[in-house]
Amino acid sequence: MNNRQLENLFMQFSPLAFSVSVSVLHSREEAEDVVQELFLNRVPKMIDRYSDVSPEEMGRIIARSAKNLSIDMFRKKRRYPEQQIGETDAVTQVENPAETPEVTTLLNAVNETDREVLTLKYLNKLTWTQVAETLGLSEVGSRKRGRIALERIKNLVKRG
Amino acid sequence: MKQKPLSDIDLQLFLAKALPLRKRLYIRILLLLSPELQKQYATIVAENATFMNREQPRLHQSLFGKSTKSAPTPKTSLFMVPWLKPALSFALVALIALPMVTTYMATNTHSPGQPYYASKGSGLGVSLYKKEKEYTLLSDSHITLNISDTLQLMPMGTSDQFVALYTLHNNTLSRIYPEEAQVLTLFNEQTLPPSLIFDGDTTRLIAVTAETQHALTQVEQIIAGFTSGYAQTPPLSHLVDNIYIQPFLITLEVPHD
Repeated sequence: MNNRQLENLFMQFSPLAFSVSVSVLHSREEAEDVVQELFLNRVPKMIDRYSDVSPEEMGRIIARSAKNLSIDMFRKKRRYPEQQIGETDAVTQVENPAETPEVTTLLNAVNETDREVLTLKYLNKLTWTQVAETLGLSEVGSRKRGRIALERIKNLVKRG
Repeated sequence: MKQKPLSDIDLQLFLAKALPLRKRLYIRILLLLSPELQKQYATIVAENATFMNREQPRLHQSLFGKSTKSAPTPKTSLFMVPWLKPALSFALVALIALPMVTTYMATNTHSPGQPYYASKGSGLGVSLYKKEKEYTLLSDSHITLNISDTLQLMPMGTSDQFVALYTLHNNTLSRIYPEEAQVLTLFNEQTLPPSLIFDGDTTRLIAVTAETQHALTQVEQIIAGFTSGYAQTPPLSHLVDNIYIQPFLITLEVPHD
């Protein structure tokens, strides 16, 4: 296990793990204990076990593990856990972070090139010039595509 | 189409880049369109900042034996930092002039003779300003300065970023900011690194920015693998693992007779 790799995962995903844990336990102190346990004992094993997964998948694995550890801690510390834990955000969202029907409907409202324009502009934060160069479009064309695609999605959301 | 409200955990997964591309794009678009979601997002970012200032340094200390907590900001009016010499061509100067900058940014007005500064968009990166009676944007990556000219780094965009500054001088990489932390340090319009004063030796100033915190060991490993790129004139910027590295070549201005 590479210590630098562990440190990088800690820097990237500890806020996520902490947040998941707080949402289950409603206690910052207990959540801190969970994150410590997670990165001390569980993540080092994950690094070896999931060496070929993408960083985004690793993030979800860590979040899921934080959720499970938090539930374990919840059960240890409360007398009647089943009555109190419920379906928290963490429990449902971390289990099922994949595409929901809302995501599919919204993104399929625009064509693939327009989605690429939006991805490069708003996720990868490229300039319009860079977006145009990357996709082999004119800068004006890229801007127009981005504006129209956003407008279309906005109308869809408004109709909600 | 009925949109389910996004939970805090959705936004945390988004911030940690732990979602598939399509879902990240979906959330990014909703963030552009929904003021309510923007507020929720800002709250999450603030909570993460609290975690990074409170629990994360303690956890880092216990797990890796060193704290991520930044060194306290220097408070003296003007000083040269002996431990930076002789390897560095820059010395940190105190933040005495920063209130001028931040006051200006708060008002965001620009008239002739006034410093000009405007963050735009949410992109990564720094802009370099020469600080005199007014602030002059230095738009090239090859900059000429006079001895004792003062530089101020400003964020290029309005979003929170994390930053570190290095100099590469005679093939020696030296970190000048943050002084003692082990990770990149928060950087935005309100939290700026100290000004830098030029001592006349040609040097390369390397600004490293990222949207999320990274260990400086990782940053330094990336820089070490690209020194030939920084040696070029003008030096080359590059983006590796979502870490943006902007080198600036700074040389002494040749006086014109």
